[in-house]
Amino acid sequence: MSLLDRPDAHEFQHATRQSAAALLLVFAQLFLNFIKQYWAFFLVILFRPASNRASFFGWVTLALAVIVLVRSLIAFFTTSFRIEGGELILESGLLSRRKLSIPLERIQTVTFQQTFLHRLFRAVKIEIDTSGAQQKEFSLTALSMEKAQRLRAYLMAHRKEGEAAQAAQADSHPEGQVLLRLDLDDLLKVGITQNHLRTTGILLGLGLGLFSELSQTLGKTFTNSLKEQWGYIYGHWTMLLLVFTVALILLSFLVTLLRTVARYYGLEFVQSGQGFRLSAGLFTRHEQSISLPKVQMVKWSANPLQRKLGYYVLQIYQGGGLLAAAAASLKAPGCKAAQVSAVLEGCFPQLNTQPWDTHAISPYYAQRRFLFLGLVPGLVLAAAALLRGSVNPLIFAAIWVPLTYYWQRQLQKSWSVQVNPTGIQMAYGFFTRYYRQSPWEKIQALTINQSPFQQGKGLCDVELHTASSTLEIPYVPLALAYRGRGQKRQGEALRTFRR
Amino acid sequence: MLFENPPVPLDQLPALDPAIGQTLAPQTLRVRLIGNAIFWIVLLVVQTISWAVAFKGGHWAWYPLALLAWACLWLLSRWLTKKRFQRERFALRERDLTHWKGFWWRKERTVPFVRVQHVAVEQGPIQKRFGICSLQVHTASSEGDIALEGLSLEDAERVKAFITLKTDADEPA
Repeated sequence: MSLLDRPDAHEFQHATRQSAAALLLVFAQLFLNFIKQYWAFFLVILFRPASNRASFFGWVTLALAVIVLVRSLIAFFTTSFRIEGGELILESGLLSRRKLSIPLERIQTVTFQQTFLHRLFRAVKIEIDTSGAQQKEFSLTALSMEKAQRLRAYLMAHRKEGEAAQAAQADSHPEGQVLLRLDLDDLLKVGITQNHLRTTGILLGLGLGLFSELSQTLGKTFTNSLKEQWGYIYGHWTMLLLVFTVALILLSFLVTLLRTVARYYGLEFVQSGQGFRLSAGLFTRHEQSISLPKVQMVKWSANPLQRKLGYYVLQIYQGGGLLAAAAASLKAPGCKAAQVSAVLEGCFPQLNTQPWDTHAISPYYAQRRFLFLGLVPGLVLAAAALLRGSVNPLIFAAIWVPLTYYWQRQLQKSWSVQVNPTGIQMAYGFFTRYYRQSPWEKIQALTINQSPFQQGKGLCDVELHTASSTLEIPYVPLALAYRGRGQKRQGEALRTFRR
Repeated sequence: MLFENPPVPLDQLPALDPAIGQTLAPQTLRVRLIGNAIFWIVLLVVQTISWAVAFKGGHWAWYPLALLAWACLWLLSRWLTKKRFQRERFALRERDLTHWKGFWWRKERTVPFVRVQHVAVEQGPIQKRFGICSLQVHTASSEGDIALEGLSLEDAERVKAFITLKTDADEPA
């Protein structure tokens, strides 16, 4: 069927503008970007003497609003798309016109995204990813839901006629089997079992960043007044530290919980014949799809709390395309073992039917890491104790050295590398356990690294490069690494791999 | 004849030893030593200026010691550059390309031809002066690329043609 035979072909034949909501969304986006960049400047204005603050602030805000409005209007009226001659064409820009053409058969994924504002206007943001190395990603800020669905259906239908039929993906099959749906109860459990330390780190970083930015912007008076007001607490620093730590832990817990709920609210993880689709989000609803031929690696992990509840965080990595790195992997928290198995079965059906040949890593891994992380710092602490004549560093060293030994030994024992003729699977991690699986046909290159110490012991670190990330295996016998290379060399799987 | 499928012990797998590999063009060493010299001379200038600024023009009596340290480090770096060059090799086989490099810390990377996305030959002005070039072999993984820096132009074109031919031949129908 040719392009023009389709009853709906005429709809996108002529230049089509985005939905009217796009104007508001572009305005909101630009305005927020401005605020993000110049918020310190606004603070300065707010802290100016009251007499001339109001008028100056008013003028600056008005000028800003006018600039942003003009830019939004230009962006709205100069951006249009159409389908012409088997290509999707996006034109934008007033002074320097930009024209982006994508042959329809090269379109890989069409992703919808809905922020709170989008939902108000029943619109979606569309992102189109292609397989080419040179093409840029195509995105439209807002299109009405109905029109967006018609566009997606049209693009998918047309693409399937072309050579990329096999690369068809999940979103062309709206039906499919729901693997996972998180209700509020599950979501709270997932939130509670998240890594709160990471949030603590982010909060600390944000706090310090905000403080240094404020002190730079507001000058010495700000820091001095802080010191004056807080001066008496400085005297009782242990108390301050305690209060600060407890507050930080509580805040981290709360922030992680809120972030998890906001990000994964209404999560739906669907498996269809040709891929996976995940949609979730409270304020901004993201929908992401991954097509099976593009899956490079599956990773799943669980910290002790998650293990206790039987939860895994599952991540599917896809290669190719040019969407941002974050979008290149699909993350589904709160999966049970059955769902992980279903995903592995769906992604790499051959891989899990064959028996695994299991290998451990060398105990030298623990010894070397203990030497650098445990023994050397221990000796430095002992030297400090001797020089300062204080016993405190010695006490710290007496705890640190055996703890590091235990920790590194457990870490080494936790490693397991499993290979079979179809692929590789690895498990590692003492606190959080990580698992990764990838078939040989997705391994692009193999690197063997050897330090002088490893050369003497016949050991090496192996890196297996896939199109999305690298699998690193430390301290394995050279013979095993060569076997990996051997399998990469012989397999018929290599020949049948589609690039 | 009966069908046989005996297991292959690890130690009987065909070895891929650097000894079978080919070295880079000999001019490459000269280009690398020139680059190395430029780096150390720039460092000397920076070191001298820093000394003058830090000690406000004084303490020149100690400067020969700093100069000696600089000279020793340069010699060590020259020696390492030579050793690295002598050890750097590459080997083309029926189905893959392997590249060995590093002297103390060794790195060996293998890329099967069927994984090659594209091959590029590049030549900078200094390389042009010495008649050498770089051959870049790109895969879908940006971390899994191979760069052979220092092949003669004819060799690079031959290797490129060979890889391209192999890539096309291994392409699934």
